[in-house]
This record gives sequence, C-alpha cells and structure tokens, in this order.
Amino acid sequence: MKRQDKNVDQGVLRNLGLFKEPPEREMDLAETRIQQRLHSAPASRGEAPAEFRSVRSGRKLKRLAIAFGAVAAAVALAVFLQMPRGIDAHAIVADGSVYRVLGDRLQIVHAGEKIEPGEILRTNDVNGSFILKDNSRVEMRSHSEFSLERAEDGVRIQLFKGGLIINAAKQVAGHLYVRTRDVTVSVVGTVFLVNAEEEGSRVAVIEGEVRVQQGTMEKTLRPGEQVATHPSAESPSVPEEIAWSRHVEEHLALLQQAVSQQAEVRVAFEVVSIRPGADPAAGVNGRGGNLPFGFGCGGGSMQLDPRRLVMITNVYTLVAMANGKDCVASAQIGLLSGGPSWATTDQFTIQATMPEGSPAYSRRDFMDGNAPRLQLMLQTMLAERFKLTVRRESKQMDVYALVVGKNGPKLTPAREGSCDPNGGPVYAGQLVAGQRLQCIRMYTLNYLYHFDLQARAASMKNLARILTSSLLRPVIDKTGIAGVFDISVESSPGDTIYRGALAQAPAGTVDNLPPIFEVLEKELGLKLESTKAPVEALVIDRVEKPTEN
Amino acid sequence: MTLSVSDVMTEPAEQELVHELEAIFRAHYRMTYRTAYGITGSSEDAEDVVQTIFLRLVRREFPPDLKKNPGAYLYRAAVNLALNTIRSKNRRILAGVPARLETQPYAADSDPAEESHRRLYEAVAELTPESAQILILRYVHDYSDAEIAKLLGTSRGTIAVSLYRSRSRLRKLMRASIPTGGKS
Repeated sequence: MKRQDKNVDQGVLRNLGLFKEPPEREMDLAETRIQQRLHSAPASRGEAPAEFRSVRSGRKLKRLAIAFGAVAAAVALAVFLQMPRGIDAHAIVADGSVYRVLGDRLQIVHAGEKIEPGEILRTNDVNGSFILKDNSRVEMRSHSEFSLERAEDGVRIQLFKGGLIINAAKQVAGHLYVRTRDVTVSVVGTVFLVNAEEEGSRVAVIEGEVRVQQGTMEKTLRPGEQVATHPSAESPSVPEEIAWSRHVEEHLALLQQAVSQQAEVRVAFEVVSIRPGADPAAGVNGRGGNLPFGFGCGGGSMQLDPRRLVMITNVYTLVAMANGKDCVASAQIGLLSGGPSWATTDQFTIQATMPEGSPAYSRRDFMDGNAPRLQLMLQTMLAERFKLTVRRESKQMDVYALVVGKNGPKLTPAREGSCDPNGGPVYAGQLVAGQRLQCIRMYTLNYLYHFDLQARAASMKNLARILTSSLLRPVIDKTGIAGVFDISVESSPGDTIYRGALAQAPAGTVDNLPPIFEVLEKELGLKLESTKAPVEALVIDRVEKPTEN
Repeated sequence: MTLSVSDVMTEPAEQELVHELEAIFRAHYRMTYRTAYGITGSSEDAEDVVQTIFLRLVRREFPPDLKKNPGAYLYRAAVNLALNTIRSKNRRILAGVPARLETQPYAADSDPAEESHRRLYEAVAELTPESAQILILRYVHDYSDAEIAKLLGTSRGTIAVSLYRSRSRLRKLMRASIPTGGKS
C-alpha cells in the first residue's frame, strides 16, 4: 500500500470514531428536552405546533410533524410519553434560590411558586427545597439541576447533576422515583440522598429502605448504607454526604436511630466456631460435597444439614458464598478481588448453627446463591470475626444476555425429586437403594475434547451462572423462564474456557461439534446475545485473621 | 382545531401503543443519540435527529421493522437521518458560500479534528446505507465483526468484506477530497 493510502486509512479509522462518546450531560439534557417538547406540544391539525422548536437557538420554528392529519395520530402524540392521568406531579418551591432554565436564560422561581412537570430547575450558590403534592420534601444542594416527571405509577425526579435529600412521604397510591443517568431509585416512606456527578451516581439511605436499580442490577439499601456507580471516587460517609443540608441534625438523629434499630435485628448464627486449618474432625460426611477450587477460591468442602453448617475453605470462597456468588466464576473474571494473599491460601474450618426457625436450605440452594438468610448470617460472621469490609463496585462490562431463541425454548422440565439437592457426587452405577443423583451444576472438557455441560433441576439463573464460569464473561438470565430443567449439552470447546486445550488434542481425536452458541439455540432454544451491562464486583478492602472462639 | 394533552381521551388499545412507544424511547434513546452524535459530531444535530425520528413515529403506524426489532430500526433511522444532515449541510455550504470554498472548503471556524471528521462523514454519506450502518457499528459502537454479523443476521465474512470495501471506497473519496497544492 502506498504511503499516502496508509495515511488516509489511518485517518479514516481514527476519525470514524472521533465522536463516539457524547458528553453525558448534553445527552441527558437532550432526553429531557425532547420529552418536554413532546409533552407540552398540543397536537394540532394542519400546522406545526409552536413548541416544536428546533434545538438550535435563534433558528426559526422548525416545521416538524406538520401534518397531524388524523385525529388518531393527534391522540397518539398527545399521550406519547404522556403523564398518566390522576397523578399530580407538580411541586411548590419552599425556599432557597431556585431557577427555571429557559434555553440560555434563567428565571427565578420564588417560594410558593409552582414547578410544573417537564420544567428544568436549577439551584445556584444556595441550597433550595421544594415540596411535592404528596408532601414529600426535597432538599437541593447548591448547583443542582433536575426536572419532575410523571411516571406510570407515580412521580419521578430526574436529577441531572448535584445532590438531593428526599424525605419521602408515605406513598398512598404510587411510587416516588429519583432517576440519574445511571440509576433509578424507588422509595416508599423514607429519607435518602442521591448525588449525580460527572463520573456517576451515589445513593445513601438515612431512614427506611430504598431500591436502587442500575441496568439489570437491583439492590436494596438500608440506613447507613450507600452505593456508588463509579468505583474510582472515594465515597464519603453518609453523615459527611448530608453535611450541606439545613436539616443535618434532624437527619443525623434519624440515621442514628435507624441504624441502632437495625443492629437490634442483626441476622447471625446462634453459635459459630472458627478454627484455622482444615480440621477433618469437623466431619463433612457423605451428605457433604466439595467446593470449587482455583483462581484464589479455596476448594475444601461444605455440608448443610438444615441448621448446621460445616465449611472447610478460605476467605475468598466465604466472601463469594456470603454474597450469593460463584467464587471461581467471579474471581476469574475480576468480579472478586482484593485482600491479603492469605485470604486465597489459608483454610479455615467453620462450624455454625443457625437459630431455630431459620429457613431449611439445601446444600444446592446455598451453592446456587439462593439461601438469603444463611448468606446474611455468613456476612455477619465475616464482619464480626474476620473484620471484613467489602466494597461493592459496579463495572460496565461486555456480557451475554441469555434469551429465548426465535423458535421458543426446548427445555426438559426436571422431574420433581429426580435429584438430591444435598447429595454428594455419586455415579449412576454406584447408587444404592434410596439414593439419588446429585443436583449437579457441571461443565468439563470430556475425553472426546467436547465441552460438556450438565445440570439437573437447574433454573435459568443456574444455567447463566454455569455459562458465566465457562465462557469467562458474565451471562445474565433474560429468558423470563421459571422452573427447573435437566440440561445436558455438548459443543465444541472453541468459545469456552477450554479453547486452549484444542491445540493440544492428539491428531484425529477432535470431531467438529458446533460452537456452544449454536448448540444452545438448536438444543435448548436459547440464545446468547452480546451486549454491555453493569455488573457488581466485590473488592475486599480489609480482612483480619479471625478472633479466637 | 387544536387538541391538547388534557383534552384527549384515549382508547385502551391506543394507550397500549403509546406505552409501547414510550418504552421504546426509554430503552433506545441513548443508543439513538450516540449514533447520531457519532456521525454528526454535534450535540444539537444529534438532538434534532432523535427528535425527528420519534416525531415521525407518533405521526404514523408503527412500521413492522420497528415492532420486530426496535433497536435495529432506530439505529438504521439514526444513521440515515444523521447522514442526511451531513449531506444537506454540505449542500448548503456548496450552494451558499462558493467564494470561501476555494480556500477553505468546509466550515471556517471548526477545528482541524472536527474538520477531518466532517469531511470523512461526507464521504460515508456516499456509501450505501447498509455499508454505512456496518461501518458505524464497527467504528463508533466498537462492535466486533462477529457481533455485527449476529446483529444483522449475516456471516462474519460478509461483514469483513463490506468493511474492506467501505474502507477502500472511503480512501478513494478522501484522497479525492484532499485539495492538492497546499491548503487543506
């Protein structure tokens, strides 16, 4: 290739992606403006509605959507992005310097004035506050910008930048939402804070409970807890976060009260014994089983007889299981990290008893991350005995969405009781009377150099978890399919964790099976679609060797 | 007659349609905006493109393609409309300021990076819509050949060939557009 061609090629590649990242704030503001224009525009027949101005200031009215000829079309416009009837989303400014943004101009909004849905409001150097129709009180930090919208089942505050503290009234017939560019917070009767910054958002709870949704992830926060979508920024404590509020003392008192009430309902084991090293006398008998090993995960064994838990493993595995994660899958794709080296090497023997009346989980439930009460008890044990502090980060990652293929699912429902959720590994030929096969979750490279995935009585969430581990990329269940299924598929190992093994296969031993993507679609009617999504990562900030019993 | 939002009564079926469109807007706004911005390099143009697309949708019945795959439909619409914006700007410049064209073929007040970008996308606007869509998925959205193939329901080979041809075509167009004899 001639030098000039090469230069042009380089220029082409460089310039094609020059503007791939639009300024986030511009993009968010444009979203609101477009919605606002569509909301506020009367659907007129035969002429362009005056509100449909082009984005550009100084430009003449843009003749958009002129021919709203049919009444049906007018009706459609009128309710597109509409605010549901019966929900009053207006608010009254209570105090402070609040301004209405009108293009390049700011118009002061005095105390007692009404804020209409769709208007963009801003505070300058002074904090402000407003009161929603349901008496929820919202404090705005200085230099904040937001608008109000009607949501399908309530009112939504769209926060573009800055911080809000919301003292939400008990919602009688709907919800109050706060949305930033990357999270949506839904709330019923509580006090909480939302910050929207360039890098991401932060939500903290003072009293009550809020649900925070970021992409496919949903998390519940309780008093004193907070979540940030940008791992780089160091999060101040909740009291520091609310220091700007005029009602800071009131909030702090609430926070203290709520946290102490929470402490009273601490979820913990009745008795716990932790000993360093693997103690064979702990007695993981035939009803126990091995734990996954590798990538810092400790292997070892675990047995759960309804109330009694015995685990011989390391800190990485304990942290993963306490948070409902698959240790190996999480660690190998960077979703579990941090901590000293002994956290990945030293084994501990844990014997614990759950309080009477605790749910009866199976070993399988616990391994699959479906034992919430037990997980909380393990979290308490790690916090108190290992002084563990874990940071939760949200990582935007390439993921696969597990979805139903175009011809529908072809899954085999599992027969009830067909496998033992507490069972250890046993081959079919070795079964004794009354014994059942283990409810396995397994993948391997078999002797034919096939990628071999087996699961008995597995939900779609379980399948996504096995695929996450074997494809080295988070797989998110989006099938919407309930129930449990028996799954057995073999594919080429090409796209899996075993891709490297193919090269070492003796000549003539490899037959060409289709890739896992095709096999899933053909045999199970499921597809893996490549996309990006936020994924939760756990980082061990601090851990100490456990205190003596 | 003028109908305002509050005057209008809607049938349940229409409401369903409207909610569907609202859901589509929320789900695909960012991708649509990002696509338009990637091509036009202008927040204002990107906003115009998105607004126009959705206004067109409320004026007519849902196109079958939109129902089938909203993301793909909106992506195509954003690419085509953004390229039209570039084309019409180019026409305006050519028609409106011939005197300046001799020395500075494009906007006099833009910086060199924006200048190269716009010149390039004028060339992209001369590709077939399908080729342009593939090119933008690859270089603006950073999709791999395999991902594009999957998205468009074709083979990885077809995508690779299309990208190769587009790059060759762009190379020719760009060489033709570089003024010879000094000024650029």
